[in-house]
Order: sequence, then C-alpha cells, then structure tokens
Amino acid sequence: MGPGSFDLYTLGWSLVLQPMPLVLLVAGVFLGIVFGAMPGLTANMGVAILVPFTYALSPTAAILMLIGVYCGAVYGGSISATLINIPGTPAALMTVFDAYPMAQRGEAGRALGLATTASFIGGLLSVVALAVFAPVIARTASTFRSQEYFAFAVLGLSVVAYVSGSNLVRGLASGLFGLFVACIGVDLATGYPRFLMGMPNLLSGVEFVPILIGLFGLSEVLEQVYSGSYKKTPTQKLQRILPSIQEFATHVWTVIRSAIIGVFIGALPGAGATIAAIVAYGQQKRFSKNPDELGKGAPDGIIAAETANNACTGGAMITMLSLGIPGDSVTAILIGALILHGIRPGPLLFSQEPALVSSIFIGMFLANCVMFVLGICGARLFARLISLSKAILLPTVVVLAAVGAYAIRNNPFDVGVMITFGLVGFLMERLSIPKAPMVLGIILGPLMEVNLRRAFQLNRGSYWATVNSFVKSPTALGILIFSIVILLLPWLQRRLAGRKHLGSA
Amino acid sequence: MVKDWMATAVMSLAGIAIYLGTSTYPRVANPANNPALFPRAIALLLILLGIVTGIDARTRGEPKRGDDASLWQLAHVKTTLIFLIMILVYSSSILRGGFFFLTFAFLTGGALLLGERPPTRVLAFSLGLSLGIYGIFVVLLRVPL
Repeated sequence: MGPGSFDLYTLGWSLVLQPMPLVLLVAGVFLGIVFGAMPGLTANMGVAILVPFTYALSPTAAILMLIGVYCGAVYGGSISATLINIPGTPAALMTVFDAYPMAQRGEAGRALGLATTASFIGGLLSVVALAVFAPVIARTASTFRSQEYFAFAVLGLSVVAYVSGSNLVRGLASGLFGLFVACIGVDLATGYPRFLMGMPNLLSGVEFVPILIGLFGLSEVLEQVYSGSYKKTPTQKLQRILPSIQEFATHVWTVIRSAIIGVFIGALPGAGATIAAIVAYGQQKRFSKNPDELGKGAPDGIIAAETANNACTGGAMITMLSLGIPGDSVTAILIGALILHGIRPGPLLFSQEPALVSSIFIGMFLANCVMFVLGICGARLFARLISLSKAILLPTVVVLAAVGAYAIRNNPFDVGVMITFGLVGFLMERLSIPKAPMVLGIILGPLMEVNLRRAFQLNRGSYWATVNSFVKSPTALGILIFSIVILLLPWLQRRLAGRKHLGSA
Repeated sequence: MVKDWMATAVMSLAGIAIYLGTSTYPRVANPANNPALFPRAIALLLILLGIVTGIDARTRGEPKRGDDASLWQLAHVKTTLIFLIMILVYSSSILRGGFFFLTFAFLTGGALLLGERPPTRVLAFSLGLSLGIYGIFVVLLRVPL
C-alpha cells in the first residue's frame, strides 16, 4: 500500500475506537487544556512530562494521548489569556489583546466561546490539510537524497533561530548546542565514542526525554521560583459560553484566512503557533473593516489568533510525519516519543506504518472535537483550576519530572541528565538564549550529520564534488539559499531601516 | 550588557571545549569517516557566534540603568537556591530513602517554602498528590521505586 491511498483515512478507526485509546485521548486533551491554561505550564512541558506515562502503552495509544495534550494545550492558553490577561502559552499571546478587554466588559463567556470555537474550526481545517498534504509530501520526500535532507535540517534550524526571539545569534547558538548534544555517544559511522566525559552511560547518547523534561519542566519551575511569578491570580466569572452560529458566520473569511496562515506557518520547519497567531492577527488588522477596534475586545481579533494557532498543530504534523522534521518544539518532543516506541517519522512511515499514520489523522480530528466539548462544557472548571496555587503545583512538576526521567530506563543517571539540562535551560533563560532551537538541534543533529557524511561518502570524500552535488540539486540549493536569506533577514531589515531613516532626515 | 558578555563567554568557551574535545580523535583523510568533522564545525560556528555577540555588545556600549535587572533578581535567589538544594536531595535519594515518604516530605516542604498556607491544607494536598503519584508510577506503571 503506497502513501496517499484511501486506506490512510480508514485503517486507524479500528485502533482508535477502542475504550483505552479513547480514554487516553480524552485524558490527554483534558491535561493539555490544564497545562495550557495555567500560566507557566506550557504545551512543551505538558507533552515532555507526560511522555513517561506512555511507556507501558502501545505506540498508537501513546501518540493519541500526546496529540491530545498538544491540541488541548495550544487551545488552553486562551483560557488564562481571557480570564487573567496572561497567555497560558506563548501561542495565546495575540488572544490577550482582544479576549481580555472583552472579558473586562463582562463578556468573558463570549470571549471564551469565540476562542474555543475558533480553535476547534482551526484545528479541524488543519487536520484536513494534514490528511491531504502529508501523504503527497511523503511521496515526494521518498525521492529525496542526502543533500535535500541536510538542506531541510539547515532550514529548520534557520527558521527556529529566526523566529525564537529578537536575537538571531543566540537562537543559532542554541541550535548549535543542540547539534552538539546529538553528537554525544558512539559515532554511528565509525563506532568511535565521542564526548563521553568518563561516563559509560553516555555510550548510547543522551536520552532525549530527560533532556526535554529538564529543559521544559525543571528549568521553567526554577525560572518561576526565581522570578517570583508563581503568586495567585484572581479570575473572572463566566456566563454564556457557546457562541451563536450567526456571530461566527460573519467572520467566515477571517477563519479561512487565519487557518491557511496557521497551516502554512505550522508546516514550515521550526516555526510555530506563536508566529502563526502573530501573522494572522497582523493580516486581520490589514483586512479588517474596523482595524482600530482590534485590541479593544474585537471578536475577529480573537478568532484570527485562535484559528491560526490551532491550525498550526496540523501544519506542524505535516512536516513531522512526512519528512521527520519537527514543525515546532512540541512536535520535536512527539518525534522523541515516537522514537522511544521504536517508530521513526519520515516518508517511510506512510508505507511501513499506515495504520499508525491513519490513527494520527483520526486522533487529531477526535482531539479537536473533544477539545471543543471540554472547552465549552468545562470552561468553569478550567477557570477554577487557573486559580490553583502554583506553590503546590511547582513542587509537583518537579516530582513528576524526576520520576518521569527515572522511569524511562529505570536508570538514576537519567535523573542527573534531567537536572543538568534543567539548570542549562535555566541559565539559557537568564541569558536570553531561546530553548526551542536546542531541542530542534538535538532532533535534527543526527539527520544533518548522517546526510552530510553520506553526501561525502557518495562523492568519495571530495569537498569540491560534495559542494557540487549540493549545487546540482535544485531543491537542496533552493532550500539552502532560502535558509541563508532567513538568517540575513534581520541584518537586511536593519540596513533598510537605516537607509529609510537617513532618507527622511 | 552583562548578559551579552556572559553569553559571549558561554558560546566561546563551549566552542573551544568542544574543539579541544575532538583533539584526540583519529585523523582520517575521508571526511565521511571523520568523527571530528561535524563537532568541529559546530565548535567553530559557536566560537564565531560568541565573537559576534561580543562585538555587538561592545558596539552598543554601556547599558542604561536597569538593563541587567532581569539577570540579577536577588529577591528570590535565596528561595531558588533552597528549592534547588531540595530538588537535588530529593532526586538523589528517592531510590534509597523510601519514595512515598520522600515525595510527601518534598511536596510539603516545597509548598511551604513557596509560601502556601495554612500548613494543614499543604499537608492534605501533599498526601493526596503523593498517593496519586505513587499509585500511577509504582502500582500502575511498575516503576521500581
């Protein structure tokens, strides 16, 4: 059965529609919303902390639960954005601008209803895009050679460095740290041990999950304790939540435009839901009949941001499933979880594990439906959960992080790895070095190194012939040029702004 | 400014350390079989980025008052350090000191340290959470703790 066949849309139903996977999916969405809704607990942290819970599960059940967490967490961010003016996740950054002013007018229920419905529709449209485009891209990607894979990995790091903050250099450095971490252990090509630092436990490399738990779990706990941002926040009362169809029908173009933006940006390796929300919100301001209303509690502002950030989930899964390259840091963690279960995402996954791919399509669809139902019915519960004390939650996250890291291989060394990377993440946070590029670097490291060395091998070790092979591949060359343009973009923007300034003077 | 210089130091020193770490690797003519090829490229790029950060910091000059405030928030340093020590003690002893008891003690101590009151509420939450975590990991997932 080749990728793109109709079986990809049907095979998974029998696997997903079982009591256990369904319960796990619902539990995942619920926990995801809780993680997303609580400021400081992010989608990254949620997925990373919950990976150890999936060891005993089948790959399908495990991925369904984690997909649930992912979809739930991206949506959950809008709850705290609406009720306490703090985006629960970075993806809800733009939602704050209109949802909170609307809530302040006494329409918190309406704001949450709009955010929930927009998230649901955005998520569903992204699932359609995932189901349509992922098999096609996988089929194309099966013809890719080392040069193209290396170029895609470079693109992923360039994009994530560009979008991860104001300082591109720090983003790149973070990606390089990740590439270095991926080098630790026995070199697969020669069997030579690298960077063991006297620790035989590192022979097989550094376990990915403890790194993630440390970077996104422990370091964020330490950061919150250090900055004192764990104090309680008062929340608001909710009235009617489900929006009317008429209200939504007037914003249909906003939904479609934002969903397209979300899927496209999600599919770009390295870009994520935050960027999608920012771009969609910017476009909404451009196309809106009343742009001045945006930022003052306008419904289309909420719809644009929430549709785009949830549409990003399906987009990010397209790149993850078809190329094995993470669309954002959560899909990087999902790749780690799949590898843990002996499954490597990429074009071959569609022909080797069609039932699993099908389950993922169906799971994404169901996760969005569950998210909508929980969002509408459980809004009052989530509003109460936001006011739960962080002083109790933060030590709990530490316990889950320590036990989760240990449970991977029942090896205390992994707890040490988790703590080390927790401290590294905390230091990075203090030095304004973003963490997402590092995670992508760890995932992309082997892909980059193996394909670069394979390219050398095919060209008999000649540097000139290898460079020439990259030039001769239009795809690889195009992607590499695009990556360089992305890296030069901030410098070019500064130059242009400088010229403009001189011109006006 | 301090952040920039520290970032410069971290990048450059990491780059140098990685490069030196490859100095004992076997010399191979074919780059495809050279285990040092990729790490060395990473090291050189890190050193380069460190230099760029340093030059950038120097060009921007002296910081305005309060620019480095986010790096040095002394108000919570004590709490963070105590919490970190608690984490280290907890993580290093869960296999020796009795998982359930240590988890209960850590959760209670952590919540009290972070300002949760009253103590009876903290104790009740800690007990419930410890039981839940024990149930999931030890009983359900059979993690040997």
